[in-house]
Amino acid sequence: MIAMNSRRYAFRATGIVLRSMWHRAEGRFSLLVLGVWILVSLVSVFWTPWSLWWTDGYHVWQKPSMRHLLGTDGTGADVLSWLMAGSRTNLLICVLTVAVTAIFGLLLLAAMLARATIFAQISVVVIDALISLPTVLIALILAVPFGPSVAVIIAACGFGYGLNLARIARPQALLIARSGYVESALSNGARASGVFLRHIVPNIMPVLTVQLSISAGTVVLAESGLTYLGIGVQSGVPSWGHSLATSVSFINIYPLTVLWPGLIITCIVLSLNLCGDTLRDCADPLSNVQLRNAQFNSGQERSGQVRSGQVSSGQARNDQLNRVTTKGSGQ
Amino acid sequence: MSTSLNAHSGSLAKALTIRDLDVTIAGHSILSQVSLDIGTRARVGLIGASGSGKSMLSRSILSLLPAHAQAAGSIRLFNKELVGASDRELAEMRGRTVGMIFQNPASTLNPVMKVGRQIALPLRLHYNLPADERLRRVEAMLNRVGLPSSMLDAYPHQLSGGQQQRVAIATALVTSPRLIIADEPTTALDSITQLHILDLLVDLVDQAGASLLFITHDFGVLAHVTSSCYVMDHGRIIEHGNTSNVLAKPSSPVTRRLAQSAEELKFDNAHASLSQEGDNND
Repeated sequence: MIAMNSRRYAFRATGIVLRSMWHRAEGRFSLLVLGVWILVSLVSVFWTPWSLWWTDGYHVWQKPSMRHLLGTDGTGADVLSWLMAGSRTNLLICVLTVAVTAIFGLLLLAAMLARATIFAQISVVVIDALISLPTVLIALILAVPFGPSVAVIIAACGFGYGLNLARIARPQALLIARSGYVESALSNGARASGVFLRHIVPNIMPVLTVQLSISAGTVVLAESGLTYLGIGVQSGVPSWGHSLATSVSFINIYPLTVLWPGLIITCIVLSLNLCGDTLRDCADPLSNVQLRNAQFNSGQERSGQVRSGQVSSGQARNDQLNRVTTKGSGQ
Repeated sequence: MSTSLNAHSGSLAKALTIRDLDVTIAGHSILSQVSLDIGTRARVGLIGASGSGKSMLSRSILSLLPAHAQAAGSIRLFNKELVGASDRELAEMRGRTVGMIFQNPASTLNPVMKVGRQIALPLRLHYNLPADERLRRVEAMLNRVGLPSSMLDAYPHQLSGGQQQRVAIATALVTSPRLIIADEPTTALDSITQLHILDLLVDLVDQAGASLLFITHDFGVLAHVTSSCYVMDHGRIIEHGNTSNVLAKPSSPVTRRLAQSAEELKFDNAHASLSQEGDNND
C-alpha cells in the first residue's frame, strides 16, 4: 500500500518537476540537449554513419559534405561517427563520477558530523588541505600505477568533487543536525545513521543537486583536459576529449575539426549547469507551488476529504480504513 | 504537604524516580541534587522561570544532553537505571517507553517529510510491523488527535500551528509510551488552541494509562493539567506538592514571586480588555 502510493507519487512528482522545468527557457534548453545526448549515446551503441575503424588515407581532413556530414580527421575517419561514439563514453564517465561524488561526499559529510570523533574535529582542516590538490595532480598520481583509463578520470574527479561537496554542504548539515526535528527524531529513538539519511540528506538536497550538476559539467571538461594530457581515456577509445586531443594540434589549418567537439562540450556543460539550477527550484516542494499542491490534492482524492481540523464522521472513516486495508492486503 | 504526597505516591509503583541528579557542563552546575518522582498514571507538573533548568531536566531523562554535559546521580525509569546506560539501551527506550513533545511544533517537524511518514517513524524504529498495519495505526492516531486522514500526505508547512502540534503529539503517542514528557507544548500557540491541545493531551494520556511530566512556566496551564507539581529555580527543586496547594499557599519566596507575577499579568490583561470594551462602548 505504502509502496504503491509512494511509487505513484514519485511518478506524479517527476512528471510535475519535468513539466515545470520545461516551462522555463533554460530548463527546456537543458532538457533538450541532455535528451539528445542520451538518445545519441544509445543509438551509437548499435549504429554510427561509418564504422569507427573505417579510414580513408586518400581523404584526410575533409570539409563537411553529404558523404561525411562533419568531415574527416587526420586518419580519414568520419568525425561524426567518432563524436557519436564518444558521447556514450562521456555519458558513462559523467554518470559514474556523479555517483562516486555523491557517495564519497556524503560519507565524508557523515564522518564530519559524527559527534566526538577525532576526525570530526580536524576534518575541516584536512578537507581544506586536500581541496587544494588539483584534480589533474590526483589523476597524474593515479595514472602512474594504473595507466591512463576511464577509471582514473572517475576516481580522481569523484575524489576531488566529493571533498568539495562535503565542504560546501557541511555548514547547512550542521544547522540541521542541531534543529528541532533532529532532536525530536533522537527523542523517538532514531540512530545517528537514520538521522543522517532520513533527516539531514533530504534537507540538504538543494545544495546537493546544484553541486552534483556542477560536478557533472566539470567532469566533461576534465575528461577532455585529462585526455589531452594523455592521462584520460586510452587512445582508441572514442570520447570527445579524444576527438579534441587528436585534432587540436592542427587547429590553425583545420579549425572545423576542432570546432565540433569543442561546441558539443560547451553545450553539454552549459546545459548540465542550467539543469542543476532549474532542478533545484522545480524539485523543492517548498518553492514549487504546483508540486506541493499536486501532492496535497492527491492525498485529498484518496480519502475524499477536505482539509479541516475536524475529525471525519465515524462511518466515513471506517469506510476509508476498510478501503485502505483492503488495498493494503492486496499488495 | 510534601510528606503526605510522598506517603500517597509511595504506595504506587513509580514510573520515574530521579535521585540526587547533578548535571554539569564545562564545570558549570546546571542541575544540582534534583530528586523527583512520578507515579504510574500520574500527571506531574514541573514549573519554573526561564533558565531554571526545566528543559535540561527533561533532556537528561532522555540522555539528550549537549555533548560535553556530565550527569551524576540516578534516573530510574520503570526500575531501569538510565544514568550510564549504553547508547543501544537508550535508543531502545526513547520513543518506546518515553515519548517527548517539544515546545515549538514548527521546528520539530521535518519540513520535507510528509506528516504520515513522520508519525510512522517511531513505529518503524521500534516495531517490525507490515506496511499496511503501520499505516492503519498511523491513520487511527491521526484521527485520534483530531486530524483528517487526508493530512497523511501533507507537508508540515501546509498545517497551522495547532495542527502541527497535534501531529507532534500523534508522533509521541503512536507507540503508546508509558511516560510522556511534554516540554512547554503550548507556549507557541494562541490561548484557544492552547486549551484544545491541553485537553487533547490530557485525554490521550489518561486513555492510554500513561504518566505525564508536564513542563511549563504558566500557572494557569499547570493547574489545568496536573495534580501535583515541582517548582524549579537555578537548577534545584525548591518546592513540591499538590498543585492547588502550591498555587494557593506557596511556601518558597520564588514560587510566591512567580505566582504573584502570573496574577499581575492576569490582572493587567483583564484591565486591558475591560478598558478596550469601554473604548468600544464609547
